[in-house]
Amino acid sequence: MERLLSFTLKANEGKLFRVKFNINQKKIRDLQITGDFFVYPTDAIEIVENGLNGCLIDKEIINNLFEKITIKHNITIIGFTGKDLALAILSAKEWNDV
Amino acid sequence: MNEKWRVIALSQNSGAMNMAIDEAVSHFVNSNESLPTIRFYTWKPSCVTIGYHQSMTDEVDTEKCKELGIDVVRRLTGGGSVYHDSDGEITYSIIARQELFEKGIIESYKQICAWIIDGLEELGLKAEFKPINDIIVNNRKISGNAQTRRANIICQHGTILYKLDVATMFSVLKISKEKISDKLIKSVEQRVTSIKNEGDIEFDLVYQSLLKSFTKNKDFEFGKLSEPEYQLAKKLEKEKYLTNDWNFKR
Repeated sequence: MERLLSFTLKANEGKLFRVKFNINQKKIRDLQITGDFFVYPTDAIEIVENGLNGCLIDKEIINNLFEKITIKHNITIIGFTGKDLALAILSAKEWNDV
Repeated sequence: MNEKWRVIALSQNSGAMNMAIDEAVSHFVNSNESLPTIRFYTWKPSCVTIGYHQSMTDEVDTEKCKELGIDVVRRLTGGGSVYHDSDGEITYSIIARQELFEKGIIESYKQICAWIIDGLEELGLKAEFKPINDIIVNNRKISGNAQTRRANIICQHGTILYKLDVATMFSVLKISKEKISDKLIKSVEQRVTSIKNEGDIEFDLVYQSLLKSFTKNKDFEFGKLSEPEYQLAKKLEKEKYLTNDWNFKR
């Protein structure tokens, strides 16, 4: 699937990761997060991606939803935080807006 | 706890088969049909592996790999892309129930990496664990490690670099062409090291030293894959690790 927006971020004291997604009515669609981070359980990154689809592109909302999803599903991510993820998504949108 | 371990001696396999064996062994250790396992292996042909969450097309020049006869495969574990030269490293995997290790992820990395550090120290190299998942000698990375936890199992695999082939590594890992300069190659050589860089040490001596440190204070026996493990590994090799569906899933 083609995703129109992308941004690569080296998380502060973390790993390199890239977000790719589309926007529909100011909301995240088709989010994919790739990179050299670690997720436990390993395949739970798809739960995070699916959970954030439909989320408004807003720093606080993305971070809060990320926290909610990871706590609810007992997911540990080593390499980036919800704040890093929100920053990458907002940066991708800003670059697209330029 | 005096758990009995199985040690599978150094063997050489394709990238897809190496990943398939790790998954098949995980399955049978989880069901208690196989002993917790320490396996040593190398790669033939040379292979690029990518982390579970990476994008093959973003990370690897797959055309160049084809041209050079280098395999590509997605791992079960996270982490970054790695070029595994067929003569350039020893890879290990540890597959055991989680209760045999520290609960914390970083702590369990540290616990297993201590076995590597002991092996390197036996060779006269002063090595240190560098969180999250690296081991360094003289401030340069010599070993990268990656771990997955599934069901009740920890599967950790990692590489101990024996000799570096930076030029090939850069030709297959996707880095913009302008970065493939002597300057960058020098900078990688300043950040990464290998056993050969650190001393005139024979490959077999490295393996024997790791074998000794990994089995220290353990009740163990040498063994092979069981027939069911081998059959499952062959199936996973064909139906998963050799497929574009898996390797290009991201």
